[in-house]
Amino acid sequence: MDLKLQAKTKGSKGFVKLIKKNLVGWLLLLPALLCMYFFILRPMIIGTYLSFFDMKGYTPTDFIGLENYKRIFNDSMFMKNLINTFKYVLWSIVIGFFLPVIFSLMLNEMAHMRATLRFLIYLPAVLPAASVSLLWYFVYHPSAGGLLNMLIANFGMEPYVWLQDSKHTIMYIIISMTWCGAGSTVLYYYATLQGINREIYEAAVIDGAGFFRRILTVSLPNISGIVLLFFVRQIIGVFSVMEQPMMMTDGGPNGASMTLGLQIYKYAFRYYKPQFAMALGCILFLILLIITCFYYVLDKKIDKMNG
Amino acid sequence: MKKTKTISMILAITALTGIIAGCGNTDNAEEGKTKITVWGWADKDADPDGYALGQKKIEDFEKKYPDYIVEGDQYQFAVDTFAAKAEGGALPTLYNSFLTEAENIAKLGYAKPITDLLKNNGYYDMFSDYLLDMISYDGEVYFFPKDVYTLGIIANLDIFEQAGLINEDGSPMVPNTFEELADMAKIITEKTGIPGFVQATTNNVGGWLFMPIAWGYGTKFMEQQNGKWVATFDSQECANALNLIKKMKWEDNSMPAETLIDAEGAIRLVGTGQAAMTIGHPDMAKGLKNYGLDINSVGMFKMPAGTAKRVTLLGGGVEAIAPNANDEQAEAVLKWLEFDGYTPNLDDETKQRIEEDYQNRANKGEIIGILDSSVWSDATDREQYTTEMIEKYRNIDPKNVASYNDKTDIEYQAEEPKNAQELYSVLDSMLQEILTNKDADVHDLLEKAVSDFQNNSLDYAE
Repeated sequence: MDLKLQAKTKGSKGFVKLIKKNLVGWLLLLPALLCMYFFILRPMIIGTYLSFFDMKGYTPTDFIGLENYKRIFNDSMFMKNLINTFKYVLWSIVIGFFLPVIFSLMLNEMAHMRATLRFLIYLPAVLPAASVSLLWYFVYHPSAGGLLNMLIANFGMEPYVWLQDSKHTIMYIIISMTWCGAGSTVLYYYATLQGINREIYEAAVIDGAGFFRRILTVSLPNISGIVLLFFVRQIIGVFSVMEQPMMMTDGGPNGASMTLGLQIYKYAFRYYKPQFAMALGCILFLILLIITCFYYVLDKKIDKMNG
Repeated sequence: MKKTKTISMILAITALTGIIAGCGNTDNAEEGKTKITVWGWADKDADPDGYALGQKKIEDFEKKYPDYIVEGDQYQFAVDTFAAKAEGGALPTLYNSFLTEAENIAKLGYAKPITDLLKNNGYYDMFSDYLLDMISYDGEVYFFPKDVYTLGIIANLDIFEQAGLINEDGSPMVPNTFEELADMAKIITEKTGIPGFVQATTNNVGGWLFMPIAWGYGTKFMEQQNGKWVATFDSQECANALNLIKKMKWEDNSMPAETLIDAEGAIRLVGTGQAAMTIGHPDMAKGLKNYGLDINSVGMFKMPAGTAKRVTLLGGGVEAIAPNANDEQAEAVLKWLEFDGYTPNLDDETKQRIEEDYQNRANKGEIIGILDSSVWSDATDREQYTTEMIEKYRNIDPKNVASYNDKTDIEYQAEEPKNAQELYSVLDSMLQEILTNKDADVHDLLEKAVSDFQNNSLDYAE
């Protein structure tokens, strides 16, 4: 028996041994692994593979190499949608990233009404998506009867068109997304803050640290890990945003709130061009991969600098 | 320990078999019988009368054709779920769609060709020529047209009354041209404070509903030059049509502040008295009652004329057979359509079912009395009988829809031949810009729209 075959036999024997050693554990894991394979891994692999084919419906016809990608890059809307998507990410960082940190610190420091505030902050997260859309529809309604317009009317201001103001549509959509999504992030941060040893706070107080000093030297360094993790998660989540612009503006006015995610949806379900949807999905994946790699490199450098 | 291990093993196997069982498929068709499933079935709890009527229809059908089994399916065509259903082989044997989607469905092979079936049963030559063209692709017929409608103006007559736009005989004043439409919208806004006209602008519907205005002003959207399709709507004609909308919005102030809305949104505004008129088809007008508008306050007018002609867009509902259906099932579907009264054939049973159908619609408070165009090339007994039933169960004042029901003095036009949906999307964007930006330059917008449409769509048109 040559060496290669010997190694292979040894390898498969080792694998069987590993399975046999904890058969029940593997069996319990199997449904989750199968789900992951069928619903995440397999569609990703097939999607990437099919992005190199011309298709009739969802049936691949001819291998056309990078033609689908070329067509997407040549589409005059691609660059605009890419820039819009980055705008979503930037606004989500400006509005949606700091707010949960502030709220969680507030909760952590509060002595009274903590449970009530926690409930109020988390409440939007449990509302059904349809209710949230309807609510924000009334909030941003451009007529004098819109909630925000009624509010600004009290200050003698004219009704404003909100989502129809193409310069700020993305920002308004991000505000509604933050309102809905910040609650669960706050809970994660808050749980981490609650896990910090109280003795560290006591030591800081004895050393004469005030409220802000305590936050800067104790609270923030202790939640920085999870905050960075959520930062990346937020970029990934917002980068593929699709539902909110679809429900609130359909990407308008005049493409001002269109995103790559919504473009993928339209390719796949409105124009029956799944090959473009798959190619654009791969492009989106690559962009996110680069951003994530950049984050890890940065994270390691920061770690090194901190010693 | 052993007990825990056994329980864990049972749990694991149960979870696994649960997944595997979920992938299964059951078919209870009796041996030797052909089973078909039919779309649009009423929900047993939400619409018990409609459900009972459907079940009785099945019972009668199976009595007449003992070799067939029919099962109702609540499926209704929706563009975002259709491809997944078709690809997964989960469409009912008989499903519905719309003329606007027909080309895509046929091109992608999501419908069974029925040319021979129609020819063998004598229906092929009975369709109107214009319609035969719309239901065919590459020389094959793929659809059975169920109803044909044209776009017109839907109006809230309560607002017309408030604005003094009701004639002495009680009939509503009808805009004969788009300029008259703009004038009436302005009068309505001035006298009532309610926007006179609302234009949908999203979901590709805005562009679709804008087509008759553009055509009316003489716009040509595309033409074939040396075998290549070229976008041609960067023209003064299309600019005039867009300027009409711009004038209504910014000079006359006769359009609502809410701009990013689809067809349902426009109907909601008209139905709830927040706008007086919009462009739409009879099914959209029927939706007004969902917003509390009384049937007596619903009006529907013929599409106004532009400076070039009076033209309207033809649309309609079609029936299609799932691509995985076999020939026996296709035959059964045709028998079902005959039985259901959607062919020119008319016998006592069909008469009874057509009457029951109108009775049920009347009981549900659906508007009856807005006339569709004809699917068939010649007047048929079936059509005449349907007209009788419409007269019998009519619940809308004929004066309010007389203009729409008069099918003379108007051209019908089918959708543009290539990339119609992509074109509507480009037009949606232009309309949105015009309605949200007072300083939008129509010619600049047209130039960019033509360039985008040519570059992103028409350059690849086959």
